[in-house]
Amino acid sequence: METIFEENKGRLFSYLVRMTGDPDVARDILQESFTRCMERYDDREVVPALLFTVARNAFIDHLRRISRYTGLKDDERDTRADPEHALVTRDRCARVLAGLQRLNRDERDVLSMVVSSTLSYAEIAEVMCMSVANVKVKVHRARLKLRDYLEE
Amino acid sequence: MDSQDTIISMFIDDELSIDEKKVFVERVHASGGFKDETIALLDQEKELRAEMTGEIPELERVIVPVRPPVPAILRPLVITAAAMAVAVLVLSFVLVLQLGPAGASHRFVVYRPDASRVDIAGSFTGWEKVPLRQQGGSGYWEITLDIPRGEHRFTYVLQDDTRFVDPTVPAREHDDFGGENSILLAGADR
Repeated sequence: METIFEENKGRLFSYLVRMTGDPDVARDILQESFTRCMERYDDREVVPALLFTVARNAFIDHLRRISRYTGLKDDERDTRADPEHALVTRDRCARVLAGLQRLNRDERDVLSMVVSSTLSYAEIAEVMCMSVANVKVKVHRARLKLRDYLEE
Repeated sequence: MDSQDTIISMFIDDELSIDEKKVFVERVHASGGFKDETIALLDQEKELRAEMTGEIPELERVIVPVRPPVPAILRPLVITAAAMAVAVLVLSFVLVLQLGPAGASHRFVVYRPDASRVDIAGSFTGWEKVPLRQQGGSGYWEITLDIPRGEHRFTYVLQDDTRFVDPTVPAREHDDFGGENSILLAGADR
């Protein structure tokens, strides 16, 4: 278990950073994902798609905790403060990360998983409970929107 | 967005079949705009996939209880104890059959934002469909059911009778009707 988690740790962390826009929050969710995997699954059950499912569920639980405290849904968070900061620092990576936060959650989720994991569209469709055709459309739409945001 | 343009993302993500690769190359040659869009998205992809995370964190170790190994001298005792445990288990099982199986509460949660109705059907419902409750506008559907301990099969069913397995349950098996069921071990120490 620790071996397969260790092998996929970088990809899971990248996915969570892209989803949260915050490496510190991503680190906490990664630790929570690791704990859940160790407690709940046998070694032979664990494949990368399951690791991403667990990390994604831990992220969704994190959003629920936040909305309980702030009353804000994920898509209502003010994510425009970060791009400005990023412009000041001239950090292109920070701009990309901030641009991702402006996508709606489904689009951010599918694009983050595509670029962070080695999962195929079919595997991602299963993790996200949607059709492969839907994954194709969402990932491309997300890329086009991100390009528009980065050109602003 | 032109629905055919998803082929650019499929190219970026190595998802094209041989026939689609041919279509892609033909479109690149036929349309300068298509080529420019592909190049722009490839440039963006380099940034998108760049390491933006800094150092990957070290994880805290998770202690999962494991039984210590039994010294050789005690093994006969352990075997005897195990045999007695099996006897007690069999007896309990007989009693359970007489008194009714012990229930275990299990919460089923599934994310289907596009569904207008989601049911669950399984060995613990006699394969009768039981509706899940929608959680506001979150896209989540859930239900908590008391189910007998033991191994169960179940599936989710959409409004149009489309069936799908629980994506969070890795154990699955094909049924006799060409479908697939999730396998749930109720009451297991997880």
